[in-house]
Amino acid sequence: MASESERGVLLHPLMLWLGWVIGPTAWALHLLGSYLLVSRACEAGSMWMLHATTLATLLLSLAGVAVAWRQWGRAGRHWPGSGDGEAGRIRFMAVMGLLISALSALLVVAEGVPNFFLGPCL
Amino acid sequence: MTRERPVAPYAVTDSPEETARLERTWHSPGGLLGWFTHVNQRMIGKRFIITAFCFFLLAGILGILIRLQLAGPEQQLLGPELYNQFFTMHGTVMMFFFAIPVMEGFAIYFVPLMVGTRDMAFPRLNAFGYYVYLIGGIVLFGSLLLSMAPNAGWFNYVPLSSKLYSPGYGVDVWTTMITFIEVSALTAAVELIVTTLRMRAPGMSLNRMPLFVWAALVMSFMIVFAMPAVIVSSTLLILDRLVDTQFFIVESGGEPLLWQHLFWYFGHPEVYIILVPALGMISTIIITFTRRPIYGYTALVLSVVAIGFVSFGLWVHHMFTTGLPQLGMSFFTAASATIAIPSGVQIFCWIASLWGAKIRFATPMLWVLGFFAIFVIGGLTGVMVASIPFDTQVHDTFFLVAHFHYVLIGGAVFPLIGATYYWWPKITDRMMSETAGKWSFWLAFIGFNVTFFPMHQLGLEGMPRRIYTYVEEMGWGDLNLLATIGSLVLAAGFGVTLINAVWSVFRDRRAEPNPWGAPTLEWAADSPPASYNFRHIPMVESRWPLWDWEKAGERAVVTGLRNDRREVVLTSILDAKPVGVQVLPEPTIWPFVSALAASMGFIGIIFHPVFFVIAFFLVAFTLVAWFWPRRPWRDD
Repeated sequence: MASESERGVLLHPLMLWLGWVIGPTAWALHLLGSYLLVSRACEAGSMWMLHATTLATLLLSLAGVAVAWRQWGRAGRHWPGSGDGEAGRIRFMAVMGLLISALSALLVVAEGVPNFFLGPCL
Repeated sequence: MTRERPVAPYAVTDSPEETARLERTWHSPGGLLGWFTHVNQRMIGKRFIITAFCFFLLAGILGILIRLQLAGPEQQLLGPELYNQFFTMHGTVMMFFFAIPVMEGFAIYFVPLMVGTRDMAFPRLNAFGYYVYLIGGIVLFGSLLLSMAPNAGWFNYVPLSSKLYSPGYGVDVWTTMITFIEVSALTAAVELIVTTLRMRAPGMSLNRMPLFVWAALVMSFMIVFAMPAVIVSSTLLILDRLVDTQFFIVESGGEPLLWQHLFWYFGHPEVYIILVPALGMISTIIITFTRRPIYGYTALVLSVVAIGFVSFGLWVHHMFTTGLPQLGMSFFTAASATIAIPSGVQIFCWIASLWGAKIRFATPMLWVLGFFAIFVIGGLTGVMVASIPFDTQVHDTFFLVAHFHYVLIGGAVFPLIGATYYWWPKITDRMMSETAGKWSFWLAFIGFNVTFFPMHQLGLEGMPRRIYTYVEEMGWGDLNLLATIGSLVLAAGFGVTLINAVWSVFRDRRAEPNPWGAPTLEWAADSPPASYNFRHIPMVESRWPLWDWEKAGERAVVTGLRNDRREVVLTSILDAKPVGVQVLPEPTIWPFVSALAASMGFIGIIFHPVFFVIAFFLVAFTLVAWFWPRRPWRDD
């Protein structure tokens, strides 16, 4: 029964949007946070705040990936088509959430790379 | 829910009286006064499309005049002041009064048909949005005739647009016009979101939604998130100019860069607001003309959604030469380069769909193939200018002019013309001539490249944008002449389509209900659709309902809706399970009156702030009339 209710929570219609929302939110936080922190980093003379922002938001977007991955597993790990009724639709939502969060994680990494090469005061 | 079969015990039978009653219920009143009361989504959508193409024509003529002025060194066709007004108007009208409204128009017309419903969620709001747009456009062109047109460029940078450097009414007209278009775009966006999420035909779960509907949904969400930024910026600017606030005035601690941030936070997604629905049109056309399911439906939806949100993280790449911290800008370089991934996924899915298919090279398909060639070049120069060192070299040169015309005309106008050929039989019940369509395409394709490709070179040679002339010694004359000749060929190409469209209406070549053999629901309606769109709301069991029905020889429909009032089915967001019935309002004059009152406030504020107060109360009054409730004891 416990697993039944867990399945219910994980695949609840609102939960299915998690992957869609967590990834882009993490990426937006990273972009804005990093942009804001550049001048702070210059004053402080150290880059740790920027790296910490990248790490935290990367973990957040990966959490989105993980949730969506589990949802996909629960709904049956096939590539979503247009058939299969509700299960097909859940797979579609989960795979979309998975890929959106994964792309967000990629964006966070891509935006984190310059921190290793450019100084904050340029 | 019952099944409709030609001869079967469960068949739905339509008595002519009931159909006539349904027709009367959804009928739009005739006559001149009646015209202002229409609220049906197809009426409003058609008006948006026609009005937007009129603005396309006008702004195109301005573009030709700009090209004629630049055809040779030291020409005197346009003086510097008129030239400034013309390029500002060309950009503003093309972006705000053509590109956004025409995409909204197609979405308003076709999204309800594609999701199988009878109207949009808020029909009167739809009408309001159209009138605000129409009045705004007329006033903007009126200002050009009075030589009061804006002249500070389509992005209207401060401090050039501040009271000190632009003392006339031109910039005020610009900020006011932006307000009109914001209001109109937001109403359309809210309409489209609610209609798409709650009014889909039963069975059309999110993973069966047509790709154009997905694109329109993403476009609408982008409008909702992007427009507020430009509302804020234009309001701050008009406050600076009208009541001497100091938001952008450096001497008083204001910040001119704030304008650029706010404007481009809207302005960059804006480019994608135009592109995204065009991507939906391309997928739609490719599916029909390869006559098989598209390759990678999920990947295509993913790309559209991803392009939608990543486009909000690129805006600083318009500001690479403003002296921002290099590290800060590099984040935006990274995001700008990454958006090439979802764009590339789209292109590869389309190539895979075309690969090995029996492609029918009808006119709509040609425009899509033209898109491929042009948009890929525009995308490549886009990746080039995403890199800061290169951008610093070509910033504010004709290289940029070439780049954004490649992405905007290639990315949006070519698919749009293709979609116009594609959906023309549905809108008018006439076919356009294929021969003329092909002539139009080749003229436009060649003309476009002859016009804009040389501009890359002119930019690299250092020709800046927004100069009204240049001296002979610069050596830019030949390429400019070539570009001007190209622009005339391009205009001729679009002109052939215009003539083709007008001619088709007078020529008696009727279209069948589904002339291209397309799989989506809009082709299940009559051509042009009846006032109620569908005699019965269809039920959907896959992504390609019309192909299913063709195979099965039968189809399921919804029954039980009343014919004597405007009823539509409401369905759940994810699975489109029927959950209720909504009664939509009838035609009324009040949205028009309300739009007049709001316009009075928007325009009056240029001259005196008191108009804001007057318009506020007038609009409140019209809204009371607009929302006057039906009598509860009457059941209609």
